[in-house]
Amino acid sequence: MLQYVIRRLLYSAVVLVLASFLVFMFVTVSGDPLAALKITPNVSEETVQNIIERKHLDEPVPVRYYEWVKDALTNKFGTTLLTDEPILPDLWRVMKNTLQLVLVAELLAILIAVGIGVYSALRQYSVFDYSMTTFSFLGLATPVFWLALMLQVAVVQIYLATGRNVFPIANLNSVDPGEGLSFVIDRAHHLVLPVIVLMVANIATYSRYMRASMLEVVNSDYVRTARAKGLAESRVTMKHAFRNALIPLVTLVALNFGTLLGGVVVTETVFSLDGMGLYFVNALGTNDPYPVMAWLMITATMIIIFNLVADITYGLLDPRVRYD
Amino acid sequence: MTERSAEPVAPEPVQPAAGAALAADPALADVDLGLSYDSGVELKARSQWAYARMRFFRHRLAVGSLIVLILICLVAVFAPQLAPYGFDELDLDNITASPTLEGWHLFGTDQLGRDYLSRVIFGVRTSLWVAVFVALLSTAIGTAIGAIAGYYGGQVDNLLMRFTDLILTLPGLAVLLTAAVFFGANDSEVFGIMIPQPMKIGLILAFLFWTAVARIVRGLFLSLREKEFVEAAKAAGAGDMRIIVRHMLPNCVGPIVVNTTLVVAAAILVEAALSFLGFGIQPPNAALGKLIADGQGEGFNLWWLVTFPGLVIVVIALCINFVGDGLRDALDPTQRRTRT
Amino acid sequence: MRKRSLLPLIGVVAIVASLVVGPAATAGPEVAKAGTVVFIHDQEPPNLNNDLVGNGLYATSLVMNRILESGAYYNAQARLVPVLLTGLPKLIKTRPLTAELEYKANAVWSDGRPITGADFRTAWRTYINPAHNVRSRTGWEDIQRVNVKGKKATVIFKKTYAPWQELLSASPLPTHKVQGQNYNQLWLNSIDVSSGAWRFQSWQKGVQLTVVKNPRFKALPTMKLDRVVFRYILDTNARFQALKSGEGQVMEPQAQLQIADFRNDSNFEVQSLAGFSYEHVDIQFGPQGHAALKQPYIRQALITGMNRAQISGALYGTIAGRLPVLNSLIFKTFENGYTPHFSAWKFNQAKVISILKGKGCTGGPDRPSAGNNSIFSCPGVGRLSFRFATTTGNQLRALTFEIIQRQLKSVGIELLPRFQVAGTLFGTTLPSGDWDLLMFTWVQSPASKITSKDIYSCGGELNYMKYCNRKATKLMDATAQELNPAKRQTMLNQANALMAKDIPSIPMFVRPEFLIRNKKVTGPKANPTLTGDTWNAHVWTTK
Repeated sequence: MLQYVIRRLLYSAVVLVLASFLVFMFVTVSGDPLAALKITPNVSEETVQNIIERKHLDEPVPVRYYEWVKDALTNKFGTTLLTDEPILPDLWRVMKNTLQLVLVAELLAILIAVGIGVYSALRQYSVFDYSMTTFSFLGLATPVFWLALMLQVAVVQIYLATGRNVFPIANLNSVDPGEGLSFVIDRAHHLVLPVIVLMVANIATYSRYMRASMLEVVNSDYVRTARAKGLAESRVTMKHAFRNALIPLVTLVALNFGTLLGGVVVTETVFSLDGMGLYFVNALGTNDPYPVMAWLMITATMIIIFNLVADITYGLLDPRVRYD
Repeated sequence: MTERSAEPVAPEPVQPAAGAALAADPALADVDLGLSYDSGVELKARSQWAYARMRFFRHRLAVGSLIVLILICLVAVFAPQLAPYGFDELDLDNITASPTLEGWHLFGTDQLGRDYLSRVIFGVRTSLWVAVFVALLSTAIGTAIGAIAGYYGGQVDNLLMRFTDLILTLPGLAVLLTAAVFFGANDSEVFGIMIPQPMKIGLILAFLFWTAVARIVRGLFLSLREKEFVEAAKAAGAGDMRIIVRHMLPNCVGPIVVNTTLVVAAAILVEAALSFLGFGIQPPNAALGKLIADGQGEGFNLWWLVTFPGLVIVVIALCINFVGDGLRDALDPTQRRTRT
Repeated sequence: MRKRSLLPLIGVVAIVASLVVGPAATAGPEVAKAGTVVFIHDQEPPNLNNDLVGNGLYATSLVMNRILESGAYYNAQARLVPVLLTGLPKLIKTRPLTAELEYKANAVWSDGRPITGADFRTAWRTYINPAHNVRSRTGWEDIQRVNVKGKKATVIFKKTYAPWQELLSASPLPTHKVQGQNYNQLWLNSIDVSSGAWRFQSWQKGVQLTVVKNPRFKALPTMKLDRVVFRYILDTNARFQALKSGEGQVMEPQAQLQIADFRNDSNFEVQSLAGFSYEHVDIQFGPQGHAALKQPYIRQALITGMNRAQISGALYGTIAGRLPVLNSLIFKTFENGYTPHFSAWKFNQAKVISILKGKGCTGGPDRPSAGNNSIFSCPGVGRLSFRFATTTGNQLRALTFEIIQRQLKSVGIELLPRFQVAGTLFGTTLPSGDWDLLMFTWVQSPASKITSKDIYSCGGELNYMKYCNRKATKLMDATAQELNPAKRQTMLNQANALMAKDIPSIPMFVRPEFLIRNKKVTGPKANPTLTGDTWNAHVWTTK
């Protein structure tokens, strides 16, 4: 087991290096990062020269890559291109905000999806089952950003009609959020719409999955055996069926992390939330390769870890899987 | 180490390259979870196709969706003839008209007085074109890679699958955005051939979408190559190429077609997200996501600018998913149906 | 079994809870007080040091121009008026150029130290230090030395620098805070000194920045408000919604249709005025540009075929009223020296066709029509099909392009869109000269007429059009040495008249700027210059 994890990590490190070089290539090769300075009148030549030297912009790409790796490893992903500010503090800040949003959305999504999935499976072909199937098809066909916009439209229309602002449509906090509990409530109030948006697609995916795996288990031999033994139906469902049906979902949730990040990019952009997604879109907009690289490396690492976690939990939950 | 233990993952639960909206495949949840596609699919062409057609047409929702889709495709293809106005036809005296029968501005007009229905139709044309391009290209790449990996196995398989993993390691939408910003923002000339900007976006998308089909085809090939008819072909002296194309690929058509269909839906959603963020298809090409973004910039009072293109995306993606679901039932009889 | 599986869940809930509460502990006390104005803005400063490269953003100016106040600034009429200075800097001698400035007796730093001539000298020394990544050293490099005498400073230049008065009006830097510090790392996240109406209090990055009254500021009346909160909301609609619902009271929106709503709402006042940045279409004269563009009659056909009034009307009509077409490459419509030399080229589609036919061009339409698809070809220069480059992601530019494209197509001239991201467009395409027409904007301050020479003179540093008119170049070069503003204005206008004949670039319109205020707040007044709309923050009040 340990050996397996170590081998996976080593292999992931190689993948990460390869991926980082690829991304660095196409981020740096195309387009001049100092372009904005070219149409700014009166820019100091000395300053431009300072930047070129500091970031080795006059060197060939492999050298620049080497310098970037050195900087990233020894200097916490280094500094931004023009302003020479450390990247990591800002990245930490946005990561914390995003983590909040994602954790809340994921937890709720899982709880709701498991509920829907189990109930749909137990009441197969019921009205509930059909409407949830419809819901998940709709949820998966709706663009995240459009759903977000529609919720904003709804809130604005309610405001115009009644003069009441039901939910804030942007930002993490109000101007004076207060402290302690009132801060938490204020934050929660601001996160309602983004959480709904992030949840919908995930509930759709997870509940379909849960339903299918629950059906699978319910119809399996050992559950039939358990039933035949005369165990109470609730006990059969909870103890035998539910736990085993949960296994694939755990894997799915962990593997879904990369996808979730995509949703975060869009959601945070629409709701102007100071999180990783917005940070990334802004970094792309300013054409600064360094924050983009730092962001991609951190998220890629996280995805690798989540994949590993998925594998391991799968093994822990399902004793038939062995690592060698 | 067995194949299964390294990747104890049910067959492709999510579309890898996708944002949350793009986790497109509800129907995959119906896949027989315990098994990969290694149960072997032997289709006897003629009678099987007839069965498949029969099964598909029994799926009423899928048939209905197919009809809607065909209509939408026809409108997209014949957009220049069918659209009531040109997509860039200005009417500066009639700006921001809300939906009205007058002048047949059914979707209203935008801030330059352009007929929004026509713009949406042209948007569908671009978006659908890109999505189909992505689906075909990614299927071609994925099938080739999957087939080679599965047929030869061993080191070749290992190398190709590691490469597939590498693509899957990257955070999908973010990489797409980066690539679109740094590669895809304008038309460009490669070896004297003009590559229009939407096609570049398509190329970038295809680069991330081929992994799913590659894994599916590889899985099928791994099991198929042990079958008697392949060994028979080998014994008869058929070349690798011939065996792959003539004997093995026809047995994989079902799952490939199903996956291709679903990629179209996923690609539409991803492209819309890219364009919405301003990094996808650029004006003057009209794409659905871009229409929404532009409309949103003009405020929620002009609700029709945001609502209609979005609804169209939902309808298209929904129909494709239903059709895909029907196709799965029809073409992939190994998969047990858990839904009616 | 069930209990064990609940444990991780509880753990996660605990993590979430601590994450939510965590920032609360560090957010700092922000008690709501009377006299608060919330200023909604679309962009957050990258850091607080506006002198450094990568900054110099308007968002930073809004905050920092009232913390590091200028000696003199441009007011809403774009006139230079003294703030910390007793009067505008005075000219002592022309050769070598020598000028004098004096700070007011009541001009002090927020820690009580007086602002003196030494602080101006500190600014100069800071800016010319080659180790500092200062955005611009223009003008500062031309200073020979600064003699300090108490509140006064005498500045002696190495060579004549025409906009010396603006240079000497720059904000002094606090010597006691700057000395011995690495300026590249100074004031990135906070600043503990102020010479202006307010001082920095806190910055919750990604959310808002708060400044409070600086009671020691007496150079102008002390600020009436207790605090101003700059709230950063990136999403356009959310911004308008925040303003509408009273979350904020003042905002500078981009040109968007939603502004029209606020015009009709009696709770709000919308101010609009022309700013200093202007859209223009540059024409390529170099070898990689279309051969036709080197022919004067083609350039005349282009400008005659564009209905510039219609474009600005379509884009801004409903929100800014009638916006005048810009007819000068040097002065803006509202400036003193503005002479509309380009107005000689009136929109006339029939004339375009007759110009082109007169020169033997064929294949185009006989009369202008909206549905025209035939394109002219002209003798020796080929088909009139031009690559039109501009930035992606800017909707107004995309719309401008679409209108121009339509207008020119109806007279048989074709434009092919070549939209590129700013990085590629300005970094690679623009300098390469491999384009035919290119639309963008120069962001300029009132005194930066000096840069006209960089843009339009032969071999000018920013002359990417490769345009060259010796006579105009001579005139523009001379302005850099001319100290008499009136004479300078005349010379620039002479140069502009020459360029209006050559048409190296087609000026389109000055971009309008907007300010919306909730009527609960009185005082905010739009300022078209880089002084920023917070220029008169000292008179703002709230009910």
